[in-house]
Amino acid sequence: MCGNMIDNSEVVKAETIVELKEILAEDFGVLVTTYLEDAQLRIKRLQLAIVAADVAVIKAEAHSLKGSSLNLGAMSLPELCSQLENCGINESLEGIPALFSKIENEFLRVETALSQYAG
Amino acid sequence: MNMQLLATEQDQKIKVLVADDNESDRMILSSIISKQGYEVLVASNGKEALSLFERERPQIVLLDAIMPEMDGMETARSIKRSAGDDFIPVLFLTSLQDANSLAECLDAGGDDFLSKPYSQIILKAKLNAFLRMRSMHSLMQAQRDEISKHNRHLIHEQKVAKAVFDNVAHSGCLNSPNIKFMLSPLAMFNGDVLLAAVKPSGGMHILLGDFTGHGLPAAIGAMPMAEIFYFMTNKGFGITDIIAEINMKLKSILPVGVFCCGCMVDFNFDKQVIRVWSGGLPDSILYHSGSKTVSRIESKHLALGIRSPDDFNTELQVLEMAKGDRLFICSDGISEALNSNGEMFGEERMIDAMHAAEEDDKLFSSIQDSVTTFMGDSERDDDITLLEVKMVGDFELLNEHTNISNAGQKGPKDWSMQYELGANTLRDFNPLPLMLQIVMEVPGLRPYSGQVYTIMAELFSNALEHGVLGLDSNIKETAAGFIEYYEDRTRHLERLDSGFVRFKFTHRSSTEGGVLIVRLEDSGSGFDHDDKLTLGLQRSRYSGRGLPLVQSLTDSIEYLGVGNAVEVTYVWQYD
Repeated sequence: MCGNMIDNSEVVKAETIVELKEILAEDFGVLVTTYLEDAQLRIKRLQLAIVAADVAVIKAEAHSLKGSSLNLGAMSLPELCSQLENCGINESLEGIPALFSKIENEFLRVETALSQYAG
Repeated sequence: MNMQLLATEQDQKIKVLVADDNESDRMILSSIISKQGYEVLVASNGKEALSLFERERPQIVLLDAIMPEMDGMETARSIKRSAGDDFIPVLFLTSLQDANSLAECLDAGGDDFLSKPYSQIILKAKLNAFLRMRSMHSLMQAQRDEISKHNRHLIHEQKVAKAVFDNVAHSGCLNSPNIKFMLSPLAMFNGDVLLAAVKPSGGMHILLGDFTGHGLPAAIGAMPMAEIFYFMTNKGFGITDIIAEINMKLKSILPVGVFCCGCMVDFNFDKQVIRVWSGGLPDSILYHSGSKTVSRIESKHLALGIRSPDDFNTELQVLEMAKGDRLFICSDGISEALNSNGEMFGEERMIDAMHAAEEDDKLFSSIQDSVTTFMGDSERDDDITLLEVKMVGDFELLNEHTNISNAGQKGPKDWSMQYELGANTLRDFNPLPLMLQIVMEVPGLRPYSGQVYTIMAELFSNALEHGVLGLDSNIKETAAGFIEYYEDRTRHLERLDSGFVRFKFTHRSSTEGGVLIVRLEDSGSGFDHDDKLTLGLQRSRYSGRGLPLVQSLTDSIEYLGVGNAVEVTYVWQYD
């Protein structure tokens, strides 16, 4: 339990969670659910876009996921999204599959952490 | 009114529009904003945001930079366009990092950024700051609108006032063929006045005035000035009476430090003589057509409106002016016009420009061109007014200004009166305006006021000058002699202690008009008018055009008794 908390603090910024809980009060859980559903949708779209090599969609979805993840206090996910967004901007598809699987993994950690906060 | 506008805005909940394609982001923003007490409108793309903006008119807009449908930049531009003069702060929501993208947001009309992750404290502070700016902007706008409304009103008033002013101050017979003038308004109103009027006797009065200052304050004094000038000239008053009256009026109405430099000239087209009163203006210039030379007429007096009536000096300068000679009068605006080096145009340049003219008719335009060229593009800082009046022979405007018919109106038709003036009165009172005024009460006679005035004026001056004062008219044969004669007359009048002139008028009306009998008697010794008196003989005693003129205007002229009484019969018909 204690180990989990330490792990979560590396994935999601605790201060942000405190502020969001204050702002949204009982709606915090709804926010987390909304974010997670939205993020899952975007990750799915990213996957398809990568297969189709659609740089415009890659760029847009990565940007959006970066923004919402920042707002939820995710620590590493926004930076990974930013790298993917840049790949889209520069139209360099080379490192994308590796980057995308990093994002998938990191998102799972964020999901776990947030779900615990939303308790 | 401004305060009301703001109050209305405060009474209603302030609306904040949030446009973000990310639902979780929207949730966070909405919560923060509604916690501040604002109403939140949410859109998930640019198109939605724009239509929501147009429908709800929120006071402040938060836009995600990158959105589907219409992106943030384009949305910002459309919202700003739709807001028009209204200040709608647009804040970009962004996780953009590079400077170019941020600059692009500002170029699109964005007012600030809010970066992700959102901070409650910063968002709160920014909303407050922008709403304060908005109120200030609305206040400023309301004041601006108020000012521009006042300004429009003021300009309208000035236009109306200017039309009235122009009717009063630049009218009369300024369009006479012997007059050229230039008036350059520095402001809408300038301080310069140009007046010209035909005298009942056929001569002309002109007046150029330059009030201190510009604009409305300078223009106000011009109104009574013009009124006195036209009224008194029309009633037959002489130049000294008019200039003294104007001075008295201006002295009584103008505040200290406001006065009017002026030059008034009485043109006598018969005798080819001018009488000039000039105060505070640059020298007037008399151009002699025959010799192509110029002479200067100094301004000898203080400006009008400074001296009290008791100290006011009405002394005139009497000058000959041959037919074709031209008198130039200008305000100091012309001699003090500056070129780009700050030098003044000066009177010398004006005279040079006159010498440069190929012919007399180009004198005026030569001066005009010279001033314009001299000044170049430099700013004018005074009104430039220039007037040219040419001495002409018989003046034709007489009837144009006396064409008011009052035939058929009520008024005295059959009457007689006698009016006797003693020495004390004769010394400094001109009875002609009063006499003319009484006689002109006869309905229908007004169009003939010029002729009647001329008859009365000639008979009265004979009675006074030859009868009462005993002056010899022979010296009047030359123009130079006329000036001497005029000076003699002044001297004799000052010493006058006995004598009288008696006017007797009788008027009888008829269906076609009427008969006016004017009889003048004086205390002089008369002259031998014994039988077979001819006008030729009379002319030897009363030289000049006086009596032949009276004879040509009347139906009969008869000397009576010892020759100190004369009676003329003037038969007139409705115009």
